[in-house]
Amino acid sequence: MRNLFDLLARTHRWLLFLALWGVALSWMNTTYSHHRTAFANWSLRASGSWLDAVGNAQNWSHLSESNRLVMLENARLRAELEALKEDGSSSWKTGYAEVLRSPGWSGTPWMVVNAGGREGLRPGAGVLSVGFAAGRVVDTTAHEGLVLSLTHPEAQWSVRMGRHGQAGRLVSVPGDVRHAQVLDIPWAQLVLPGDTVMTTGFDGVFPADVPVGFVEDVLGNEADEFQTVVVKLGADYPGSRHVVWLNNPRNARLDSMFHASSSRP
Amino acid sequence: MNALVPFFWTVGWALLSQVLLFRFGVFWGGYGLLMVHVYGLLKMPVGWPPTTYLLIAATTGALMDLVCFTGGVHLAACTTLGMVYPTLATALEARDGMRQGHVFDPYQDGWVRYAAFVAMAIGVHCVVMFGLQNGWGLMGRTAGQALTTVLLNTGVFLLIQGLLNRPTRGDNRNVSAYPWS
Repeated sequence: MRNLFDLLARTHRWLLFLALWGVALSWMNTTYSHHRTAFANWSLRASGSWLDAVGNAQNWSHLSESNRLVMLENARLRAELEALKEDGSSSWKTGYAEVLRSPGWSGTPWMVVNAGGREGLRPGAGVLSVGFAAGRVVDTTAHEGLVLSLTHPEAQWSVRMGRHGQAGRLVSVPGDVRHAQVLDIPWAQLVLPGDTVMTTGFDGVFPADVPVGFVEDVLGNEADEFQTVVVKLGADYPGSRHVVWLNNPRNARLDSMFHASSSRP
Repeated sequence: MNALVPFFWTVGWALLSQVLLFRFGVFWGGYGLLMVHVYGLLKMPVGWPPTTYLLIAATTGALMDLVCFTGGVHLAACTTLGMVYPTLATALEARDGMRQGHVFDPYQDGWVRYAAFVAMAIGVHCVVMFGLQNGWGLMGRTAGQALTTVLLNTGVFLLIQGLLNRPTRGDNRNVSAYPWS
């Protein structure tokens, strides 16, 4: 209490000034209708603004939870959609998982998801992020999966320009999780910015015609035989929280066949 | 105590003349208003406690509002003037400082310094008063009114000083430049 009195004593001049101003303003408020109206408008605006701010904060908390549920539902629906797009003869299995580590966060080219062997995820499965090819599962635990992303500097992926264009190799741009380059595209192939880059399905990770990204630029000169295509990746590594995985048992059989044939003389 | 008598005398006749006569001094469509009561406030001696300036100025403003039915406008303006008065006095003091109880006077401080002091004080008063009357939407009008009123009242205060506050010769008649003589 003594400190309070000391504070009041130190600031008494300012407090008196504010009090006198308060008296003056209230006096004006009772005298002039214009000021009374202006004060009423101001108080209405202030109270409305405060209520808006409180409402926005409440809405934000509700929307945050709704957004999380919508993203989860979106991933589940994408998984179902991928399953429906395949005909009955194909046996692609799909599922969704939440991203635990991503190249955009940790600076490494690896992604970790919260699905593993118990959820049916196997090494070799492809991973989609917001509908675009994002990587390949290389290892799993019971409930986690390690994904080799498209941004890994030593990985190559089989892609083509559009659905019917030339196939080439997609390699990463070091240090950039949003762009990649497609090599070995001959100049005869007309490539324009905005064209869609799709998977060929040759690597067995993804089915054919899964979008990878969009052409952003074309590098090289006419003297070269091939052009280099700069691709803006569709997979949103820094922002995506849920992914869809695709797995086909046929891939395992093909892989085992390759290994068997390579071991023969 | 002796210093208080001329001060309150000045404040009294300035307030009375403003209420009775100069309140009707509205020129150029409201862009020039006479504020002679502020002349009395500018006679507050240097060295008083700052709260005293605030209270005296607020009382003067409240009296103006009560008599002229201006509803708190003068109270706010004079309160602000009383709040900044010590700062104004400090900002315009001479290089060798001011003695306790010094009252701003063109014959001692110089006409230019006194005019600057008056202009700044009137400017603070006018900005608050016209600003409250006009609101945010008429800031240009507030600035124009403040500028013309500052010029008008600065001239009027200098005129009052020249007419009423001239130093008398008789005071120094018996003072020799040689104290030993």
